Amino acid sequence: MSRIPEKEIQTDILVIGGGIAGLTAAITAKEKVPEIDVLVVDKATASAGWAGKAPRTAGHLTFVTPEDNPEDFVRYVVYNIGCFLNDQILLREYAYATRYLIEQVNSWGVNILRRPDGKIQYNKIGPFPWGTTLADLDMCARLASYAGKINIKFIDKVFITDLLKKDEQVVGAVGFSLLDGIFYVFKSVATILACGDQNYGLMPLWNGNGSGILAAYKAGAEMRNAEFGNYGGGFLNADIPQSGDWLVTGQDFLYNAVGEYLTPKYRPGPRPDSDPESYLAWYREVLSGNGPIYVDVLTSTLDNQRKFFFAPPGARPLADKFWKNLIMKTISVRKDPSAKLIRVVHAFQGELSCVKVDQNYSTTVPGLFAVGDISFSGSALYGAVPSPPGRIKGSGLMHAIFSGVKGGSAAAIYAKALKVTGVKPEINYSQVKELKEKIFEPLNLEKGIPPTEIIYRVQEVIYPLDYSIIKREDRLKEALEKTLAIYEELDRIKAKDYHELTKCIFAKSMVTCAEMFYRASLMRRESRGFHYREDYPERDDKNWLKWIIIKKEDERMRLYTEPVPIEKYPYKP
Amino acid sequence: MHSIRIDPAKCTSCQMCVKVCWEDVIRWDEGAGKPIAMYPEDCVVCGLCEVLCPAGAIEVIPDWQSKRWPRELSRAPNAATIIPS
Repeated sequence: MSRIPEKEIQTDILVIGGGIAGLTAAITAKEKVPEIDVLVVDKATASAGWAGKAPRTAGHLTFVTPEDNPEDFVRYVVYNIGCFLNDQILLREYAYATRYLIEQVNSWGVNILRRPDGKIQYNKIGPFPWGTTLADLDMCARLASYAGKINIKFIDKVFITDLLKKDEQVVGAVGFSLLDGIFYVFKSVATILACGDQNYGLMPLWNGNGSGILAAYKAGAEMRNAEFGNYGGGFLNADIPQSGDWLVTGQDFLYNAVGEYLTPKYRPGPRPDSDPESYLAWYREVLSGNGPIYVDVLTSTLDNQRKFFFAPPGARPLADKFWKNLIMKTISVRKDPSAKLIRVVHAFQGELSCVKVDQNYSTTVPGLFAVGDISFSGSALYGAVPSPPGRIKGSGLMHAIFSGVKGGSAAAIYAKALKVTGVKPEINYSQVKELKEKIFEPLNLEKGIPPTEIIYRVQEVIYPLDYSIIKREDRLKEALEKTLAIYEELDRIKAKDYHELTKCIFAKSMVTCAEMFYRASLMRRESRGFHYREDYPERDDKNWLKWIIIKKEDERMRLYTEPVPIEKYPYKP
Repeated sequence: MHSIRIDPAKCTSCQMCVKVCWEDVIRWDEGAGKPIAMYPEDCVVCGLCEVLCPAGAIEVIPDWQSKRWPRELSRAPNAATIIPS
């Protein structure tokens, strides 16, 4: 192993992941304390702005518009979305900050849709206290270009796998280059995880591999709200679900096999986005023999375009090209492209984003911050929902920016404070050596299992609707047992090159994330938000105004509860 | 497997496709001075390389049947009615 060359790099702030949250955090930190060094490391090409998920989103930014009252927003989210598991203090701050933050990213070069009078152009859907504006999909390219101008450094094509600790503090990280396998050792005063959530490879276009969640967990960071890790978002073409022929507003246009229009029956009134009720409807109809279920694709496609792509033609050249290309490709998989009704299956969405952070997006381990999708649920901002789009479309990019600004700012102050007191990052070289051996181990095996096999096994245990979305004690136990059995295979993962070595880490993180999700789901014996238990179908405010916390202790996964300080909050059940 | 066709006659060697490929499918071939589709099995058909190539030199042709997907949608007995054949 010693023959693999090493590079040691020192920085004040290390940002792991250069998507929109990482770039926002890096820029905020550098502008706040210009004399500190900020380095962004990503396995993709973050220096050009093509890392993370933002370049493949719809470009929605949901915010509290001038015609909305931020208090109405907070109240709506607490009552209808977060179901009282919100950090209401953080949520209020968010509600008041969103408009300003859109202007902020605009000042860094991101194009925002504007009206002729210069005000932000937005769309309001339904009676909700927010609106949505649009940015083009080059938003990260523009942020990366701005970051380069203010002397933020980048290292591309390096995948960070583990955090380094000294005396209970995070003091850096290690990883390797996908191109040549060089082992990188980073020493940092403050470290910001901005590397996305866990999707289990089942939303291939918006994939998050959860490696940051695993790294944080191994470093002793607490997790929160892991039971809200998966949901059903829209429906997929049943003929070929892997194609991503994803019927986004399909839940509003559901029919059963006898032609009955299901939506009014199960989804009365407007909903801001996907909801658990449509999945229950689909499931119950199928169980009572009324399957298969269909979506009226002609109407849902028109509805989708009307709701989500309201920018005038030419205002977002990249988004127009990207979505046109993608839609043409997905429609071409349909047996009959002019068919009105398409047989559907649930679109499983893994969005485990449970790294617990405080109101500064600081984790429970000193020196470690977490921003963007990795800490969406862990922040408790939105409460009992998985990470975005959760139940408000456009909240993902907005939260990435909000958390990036908050976490970047806090990390800059932390790094500056430590520097002023003369603290220099010192790492433990025996930990580095141990990690290096462990990371490259899959390359040395003569025989073994390819990581894609392990990933597929986790997918089979996380995908079934009635394991991970419609839950019950016996099935959860079964799913957990199958998850734990996969651990036994992990020592046998074999990689043929550095590219495949990244997948070995993805596979490992998927198993740990599935375990967190099933353990927390078993513990919460009630239904709330996106956590639905068939055996405990009611919300139980007497016993469950609590967050479930997960922590690694003595090499085991431990679960605790922490009461929500509801007495301090304005909105109570 | 999905195939990624790069037309060397049209390609201007700007490396845009290498930079936008976040899945590490397209790499830069130093020797040839051209991009190469090194890991097509990992392509997710996002199409960013196609739409951002200034020369229109790339085409991604999906082969969805080659992609594995979990077999079991549901544990329930009746669910067989909705499982794709």
